[in-house]
Amino acid sequence: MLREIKFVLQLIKLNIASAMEYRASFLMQAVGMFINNGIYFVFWILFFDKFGELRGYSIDQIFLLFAIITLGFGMALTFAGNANRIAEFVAQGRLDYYLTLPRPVLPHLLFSWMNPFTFGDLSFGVISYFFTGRFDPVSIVLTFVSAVLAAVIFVSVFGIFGSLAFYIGNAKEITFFLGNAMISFSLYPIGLFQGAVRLILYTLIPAAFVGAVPVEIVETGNLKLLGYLAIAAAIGATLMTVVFQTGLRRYESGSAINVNM
Amino acid sequence: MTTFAADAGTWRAKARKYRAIARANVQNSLAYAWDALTPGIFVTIFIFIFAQIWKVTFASQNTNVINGLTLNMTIWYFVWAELVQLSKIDPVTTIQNEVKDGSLAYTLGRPYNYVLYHFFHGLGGVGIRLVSVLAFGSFVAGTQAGLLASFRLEVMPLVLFVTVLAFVLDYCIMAMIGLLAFFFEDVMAFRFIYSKITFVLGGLLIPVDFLPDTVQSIARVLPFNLVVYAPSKLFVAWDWEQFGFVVIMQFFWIGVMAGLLTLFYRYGVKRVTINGG
Repeated sequence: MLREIKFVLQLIKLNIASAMEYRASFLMQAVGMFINNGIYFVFWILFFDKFGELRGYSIDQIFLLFAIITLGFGMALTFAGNANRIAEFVAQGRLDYYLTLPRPVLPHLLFSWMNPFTFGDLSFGVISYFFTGRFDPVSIVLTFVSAVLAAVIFVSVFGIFGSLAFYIGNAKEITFFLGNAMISFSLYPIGLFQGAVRLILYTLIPAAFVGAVPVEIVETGNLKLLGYLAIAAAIGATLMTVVFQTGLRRYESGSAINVNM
Repeated sequence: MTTFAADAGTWRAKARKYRAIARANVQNSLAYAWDALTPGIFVTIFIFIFAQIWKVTFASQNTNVINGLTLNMTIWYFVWAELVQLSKIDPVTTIQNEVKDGSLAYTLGRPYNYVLYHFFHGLGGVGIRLVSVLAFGSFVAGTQAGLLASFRLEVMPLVLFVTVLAFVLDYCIMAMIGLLAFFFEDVMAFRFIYSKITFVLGGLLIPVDFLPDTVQSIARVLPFNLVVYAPSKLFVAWDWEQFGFVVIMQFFWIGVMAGLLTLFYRYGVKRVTINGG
């Protein structure tokens, strides 16, 4: 286990070094993503300025929501950049490279690429947190831990969606759609959604676990809820591993020749 | 032996050429019709979320009309706004890749204009996306807010005309972003920024009428509102005077952007180095 952790850390180190080779491009992409997130932020500022509260959410909750989601999403794809590309790898027969190496396929695949855009998310998350004005150590720790758990949930959900490719063939579109649905729903106050939609947001597309639940944890300091979130993250990671490993048995090589550099 | 059409070099011949390019992509998009489901599913999510937000907002404001728009009009506004956003031509990735990998050189020797080629090629894929977005979007808006109460069938050709001009204006801006690849390694950040400016100042996330007065006055001066907000507002609240103003402004900005795009392209092409291969 320790050996695998060291291996993953080494991959992350290499990814950072690789991203830094193209500094200008890296910076442009990170800044682009930062501005991208900033625009949503501006929308909410303008919205609340004109209309006030929205089902129990004010601009303060939105700051916290954005901080946790962008930190969680940023950590997920900064470290496990291939999480939302699994369907692509399976459909194109590009898993061959990982199968020939003496390392567990799933962690190797997940952590062997870094998405430079996500540095913009990470930095945005930090700035967004400053806007919340919560500088007490408890809030900072709860936010960080919630964001880490949200990152695990993001990776797990992307991994599960992507692994559908083993079963249904080209799942690139559906992974893209489900992943975006999860991000889209998570960025809005949960109070807007009732009934069946709310149930979906806690189960099939678990957007609530990366947005609404962490916000409630930080706001109320509810450690029991944090425990539930940790359990949800553990279940997600286990499910991803099972779905991926089971699906891997169905994998057929595309005989494609790839050079990973 | 090479044969030429009798009208070779005329406007008619050029139109035929670009029509053929567009037709080829229409056939291509029809062959992969299922791909058009993706924007349809996206619009379903967006309209559903926006419907919830604005239902709650109208209820909390205890009013039926906000700045001239009813809840029904607001939800249908987003259907047209998403229709523009999800159906428009997006040449950035293709142009960037062609500039970066040098395949741009392949098209330089061909008897068509590179920028126009991508416009008509993209146009071929617009139709099927329009149908998909309109079908899914209308269904969700209909279930959430009922039919559009202010719908006027007789002005729809003019709304479509304004929408086509919006596509042209947006294409000029997007193609310029793609051509930035002559100078920058990756231009996706620029596309991100442009698309997000459109989200707020263009009226995709919130109708310009709902913005604070200062922001609204800035948004109305800039060309971005002519891409999304202008056609969407005319769709839900037709106004002849507004239509005239929008068309004039769209022609003005298309002129400016097309001029800049041409200059940009000519300057960029001079920097192309072909190494054979």
